[in-house]
Amino acid sequence: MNGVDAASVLYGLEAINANNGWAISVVGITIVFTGLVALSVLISQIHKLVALYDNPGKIKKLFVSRSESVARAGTPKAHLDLTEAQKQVCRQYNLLAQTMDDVISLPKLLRMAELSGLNDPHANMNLLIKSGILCADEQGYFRWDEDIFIRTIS
Amino acid sequence: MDSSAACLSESIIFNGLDARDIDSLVPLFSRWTVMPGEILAQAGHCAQFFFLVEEGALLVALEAGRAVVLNRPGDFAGLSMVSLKGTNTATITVLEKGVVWVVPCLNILDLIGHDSPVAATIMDGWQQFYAEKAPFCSDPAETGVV
Repeated sequence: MNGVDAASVLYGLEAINANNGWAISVVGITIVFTGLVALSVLISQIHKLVALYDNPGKIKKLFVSRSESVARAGTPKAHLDLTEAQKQVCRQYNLLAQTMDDVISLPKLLRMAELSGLNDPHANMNLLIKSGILCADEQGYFRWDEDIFIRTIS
Repeated sequence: MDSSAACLSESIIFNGLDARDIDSLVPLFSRWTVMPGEILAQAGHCAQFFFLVEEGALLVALEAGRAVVLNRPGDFAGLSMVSLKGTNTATITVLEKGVVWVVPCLNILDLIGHDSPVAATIMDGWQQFYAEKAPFCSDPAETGVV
């Protein structure tokens, strides 16, 4: 038999035993099953990836820290270029604000503006907030930012 | 995605919901264009609607002269911020021309009244929003349910 001693050739279970066949098959089965389990876990989570794809807001939510969201909630401080008429409005509201305490109640300021006959009090109040002249504190009241006011009207 | 769904997805309160849940909420909302000076809700009156800001700015006047300005897309004037036991506790006034999505109070209260994942997600978002916008108010978990 091509130089091989026929007596040394093993078949069946003897051959498996002699060549670590059992160990090899156990390792093979383990690898295959581990792969299948990993694949099934991956597939079971695909709906979450699809949900993230459908709703990118969730991704943002994962990465936006609380501190960033608090900062985002703050009144914008960007310097706005106002027209001369808008600057005049700011000066009028400054006079009203001076009659109030350090902390300003926005509804009260709005009411005073209405009673004083100022034009478009709601829109102008919004202008003051957007410009950062009126900024919210954490107690539900607002403060008149003198620095921004001076910078804005100058 | 239409603008109401987009606005809901942008809101801290609703963006935890999946797209299917948001789609089911969309029919509850109506689109209103609002003008400066318009009063959307009056304190002491029967609570009828909650408001989701898409564009513009709302002034929510609370008790003791306190106020919250809602001016970001997705800001929500609703639940315990504006009502309690079926009555408005705040006056909501429009500061800037814009668009709000209006939802009947009862629809939202009914939705969060059930023990469901949707209700839990909305309440989680609500607590986060409330802590950010009105940290001076206590008991954000209070929903204003009748």
